[in-house]
Formats: sequence, structure tokens, C-alpha cells
Amino acid sequence: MTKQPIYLVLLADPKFEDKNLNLIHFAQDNFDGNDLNAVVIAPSDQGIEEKYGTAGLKEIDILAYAQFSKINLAQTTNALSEYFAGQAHSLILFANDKGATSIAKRVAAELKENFIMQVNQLTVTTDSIVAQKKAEEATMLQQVTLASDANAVMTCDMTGVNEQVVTGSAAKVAVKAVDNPAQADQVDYSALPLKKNDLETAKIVVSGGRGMQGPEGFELLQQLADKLHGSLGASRVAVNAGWVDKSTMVGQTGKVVAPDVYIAVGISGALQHTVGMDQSKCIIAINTDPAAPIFKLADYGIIGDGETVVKQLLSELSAPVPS
Amino acid sequence: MNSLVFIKGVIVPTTKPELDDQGQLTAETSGAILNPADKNAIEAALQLADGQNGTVTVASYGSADATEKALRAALALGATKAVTVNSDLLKAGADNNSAVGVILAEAAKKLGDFDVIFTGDQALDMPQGYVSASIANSLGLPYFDDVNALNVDGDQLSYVTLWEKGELTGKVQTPAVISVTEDINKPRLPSFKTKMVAKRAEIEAVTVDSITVIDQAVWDQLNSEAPTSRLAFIPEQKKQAVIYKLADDDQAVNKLVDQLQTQGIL
Repeated sequence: MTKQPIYLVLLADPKFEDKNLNLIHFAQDNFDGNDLNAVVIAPSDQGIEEKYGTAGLKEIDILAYAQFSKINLAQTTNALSEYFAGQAHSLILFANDKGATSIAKRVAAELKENFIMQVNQLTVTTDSIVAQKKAEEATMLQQVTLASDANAVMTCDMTGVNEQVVTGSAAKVAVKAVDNPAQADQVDYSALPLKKNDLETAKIVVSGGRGMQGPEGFELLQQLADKLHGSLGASRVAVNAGWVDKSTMVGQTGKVVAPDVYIAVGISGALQHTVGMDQSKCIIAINTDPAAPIFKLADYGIIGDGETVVKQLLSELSAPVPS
Repeated sequence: MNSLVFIKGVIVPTTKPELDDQGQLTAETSGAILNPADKNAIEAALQLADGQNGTVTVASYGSADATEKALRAALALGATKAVTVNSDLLKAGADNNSAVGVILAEAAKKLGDFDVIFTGDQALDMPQGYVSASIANSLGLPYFDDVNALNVDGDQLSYVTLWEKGELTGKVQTPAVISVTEDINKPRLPSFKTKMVAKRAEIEAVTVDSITVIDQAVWDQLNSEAPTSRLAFIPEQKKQAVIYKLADDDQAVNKLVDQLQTQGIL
């Protein structure tokens, strides 16, 4: 048990997707036996209790003011810092998206507390708190040990943590109106248009080969890539057959890519292709031939017809909400 | 414009890494290099100085060897002046110390007035991105972090910061603290000549022996709470593919999507 309560900061900006429930789940996984409090910061208190009231939190304070948006980094920092300056706490946990990270480090700097970024595991004992994160270009782990009564602000690496919180009895909810928020930041936010076929920098690549059987198959792959905010790739066979533009070719004579997710559809996985994609973080293979070498590289796979699977994927995946 | 760039000699594995009893990389398996994002910070500062008689001062705080390597590399890139920051105020044995930014803020104050204080967005060895926030806060300066583009706009600077699906844009009121990403520019390469000059250049020193930028009691608290840290190897996990068969399971695609979403992959 930490000596003071643990707080989660839930940035509830309706203009953005958030990972607030994932953050609660992360904390529940890591702090078995500790009470968890949350401070929700939002343009109004409407709907907040409904969303988080039974999410397993003990106390929820809602900081509400109409101007709130997480793009106002300094203004949000100000509201949160004032709140925490008057509130005994041990750890303050944030999500790890860009906005939350920017606010978290500003709050830590304002409160003059330790800051630890991208924590993926927390262990609390009677005399210490150990936060684990990746270091040395993610090739090693770093274990940071704080005294159990130390204050620290952290962002949490929620890879693999879903929104399925352990629900509990109703939290004690209090609305704390922020009457005089600091001046809003002089900043503009604009959503970026989806980039088409920016293969080398795409986080998700949807790639097709002989198994797509023609240009129509690649139209389906393009739809899937668009839906995932990703980019279209292809094997040499598909490019040589004229089904798809040469700029999409991945492999020895094409581009080398290393996205977070590489979806290989109807690609057997010849070495000439795999040298261009084998460094991808997660490889998903779809192929009719269970003996295809691509399955040796895969993290996930479906043995089945590419076109059929892609059509099902398209109906299964909800389009990401552009923010 | 005159800039101060805080840089770090990061300790990275040079070969297959080995750890000592304290969980630190052994001297035989590691070495110091100039932090990659700091090269972009230096480049950004050089671009603001170019053609305007501006100066670029680089400063670094850390072990003597790592600091000298970083500073000489920065001089070879064209920095005007290099400074080692000396201080024995930090709690001994602590690591990953969030109080470092306060020491650097104090050093910046001693080094004079600058239009911009730059840093890289994060260190390669122990990524945190916190030092710049702490410097800005300690000096009471506006702070712009993870900047992806910086443009001169009349007598003002405008910036762009990329978020997951959009961009923040605004103007920088100088003096300010700016941390830059590795996408902001393409750092120039040192030439043989600049390397030789850098090798012989004098490195100045500034000593921080008291804290004035923040309250002494607050400093004592922050410094005394500094954590310790150790490295560990990531336990090896054999790649275990999850394969579904469409012919046997008409829910195969459904299950795959569920799995991918649970794992945070899609």
C-alpha cells in the first residue's frame, strides 16, 4: 500500500479518443489492494459519473470548465497542478498519448516531483515502489525504485491493456468547478488528412501478393488500409502482373518497411519479399497454404482465402474515429 | 538569435551488453555517444543563428568522459562554444533523477541570456523527455515540447507539434524552452576540418553549487526523493503464432480481430 492515495488523471476531451478506461484497467492490474482515486478534467461534468462512477474507483473529483481541451497544455497543467498542490497523493498516473504525456511532464515539473515515462509495470511493497519501463531503444528494461512515500508523476504504457475494467460499487463523486481557469494556450489543432501510400513511415501496412488474384483484390486491400489509416504494399508477383503500382512493392527490389503491424494477404513469404518486412513489430499472415513460409514469421494468422478474409475484416473492424 | 542547447552523452551498448551487480552496463560493453535527437536540437539552433550573427552554446552535465564526447561532437557540428556543467548537489547514487533539470536551469541562468534553450525530445538510453519541462518550469519560461517543425516568421518563430492524428501549431514567444524531435530537420555532417578544430577547442566550465531558481526546501525534497535505477534484460519470449483456420471456424476473423484489439495491436 502506498502511504497516500494513488490518483489517475482522466483527460475527458470529447474532441479526442481517450484511453481513460484502459488507464483504470492498467492501474487495477498493477495495484491490487490499493484504493484508486481519479480526477477527471472535462468541459462539463455531464456524463462523467455515468461513465466512470462504477469503474472500480473509490473517489472521483471532476474538474469542469467550459474551455477545457487537452490542446491547451499550459492551461490544463495549471488546473491539475492547483488541484494536486492541495491534495495529498502518492502517484499520479496519466495515459501515454502525446497530449497526456505533454501535460503529465508539465504537471510533474510544476509540482517538482519525479517523472517516469512509459511505465509498463508497477510493484508496490511496504518500503518501495518499483516502476518498470523500456530503455536502451527498447532492447532492455529499466527498473526505477522510489521510496514508498515518494511522489511521482507517471505515464503508463498500456500496450495489451483493454477497456475491460473491474467494476465496483459507486465512487464518491465531487464536482469541483474551476471558476477562473488560466488563459487558454495560443494554439491551433488541425486533424491531418489520411496519408495514402506513405509506405515507409506507415504504422500499418496491408500488403498483397499472388493470392489476391487480380486488381479487384487490391482494391479491397486499399479499403482495408484506408480503414486502418495504413498504407498499401505488394509483393513483386502482384506488381509484375500489373495489379498494383510499382511504388507499393515491398522486398529486395522494392521498399524495406518496419511498421507496427504488417498484414500479409495472399503472400507466400519468399525471402525476396520477407527481407523487406521481417522487422515489422507484429506480422499477421493470411494465406490458403498452411505450409507457406510467411506463417513462420507471423504473430497471428488465418489459413483461408485472402479475398474472403479481407471482406470479413472490413465488416468486422469499426473505422477508427478521426480526431 | 542566440541559443543554448543542452546535450547528453548517452551510454549505449557497443556490443552484446553485459550488466554489473548494480544493474548498469559494464564499461567494456558500452560507450558514450552524442544523443541523436540532440543533433537535431543543435541543427535547429544553427539554423536560427545562420546569417544573423547568432551564437550556439552547447552545455552538458554528466560523467566527464560522456560529457566531453558529446561536447566535442557538438563543436564539430558547428557549435560556437561548449560548456561542461559541474555540480555535486545531486544525491549520490541516485539515477534517473528528475532534479537534473533544476541543475541545468541554474547553469543556464549563469551562462547568460538566450533567445531559445533547446534540447532533444528524449535521450536514447533512458527516454523521459522531462529535463526540458523542468528547465522551462524552473526558469519560468514558455515551453514547447516534441516540436516537429520550427519556422522563422518575421521576427517570430512558429512551431508544429505532431500528435497521433493531427498537429498543434502556434507561435513561440521568446525566450522559450523548445524540445525537438528527430523529424524536425536533417542534421549537418561534421567535416574533417571541423572535427580537427573541435578536437583542439577549449571547453569551458560552469559550476552549480547552490540552487536559486527554485525554493531551497522544494529542491531538498525533490533531490532527496530521487529514485535509484537498474537495467535488466528482457526475458526472452519464444514467438508463438496464433493461427486460425477459416475452413474449420467461421468465427476465425472475428476471433482474430478480438485478439488484435485486446492486445492493443489494432
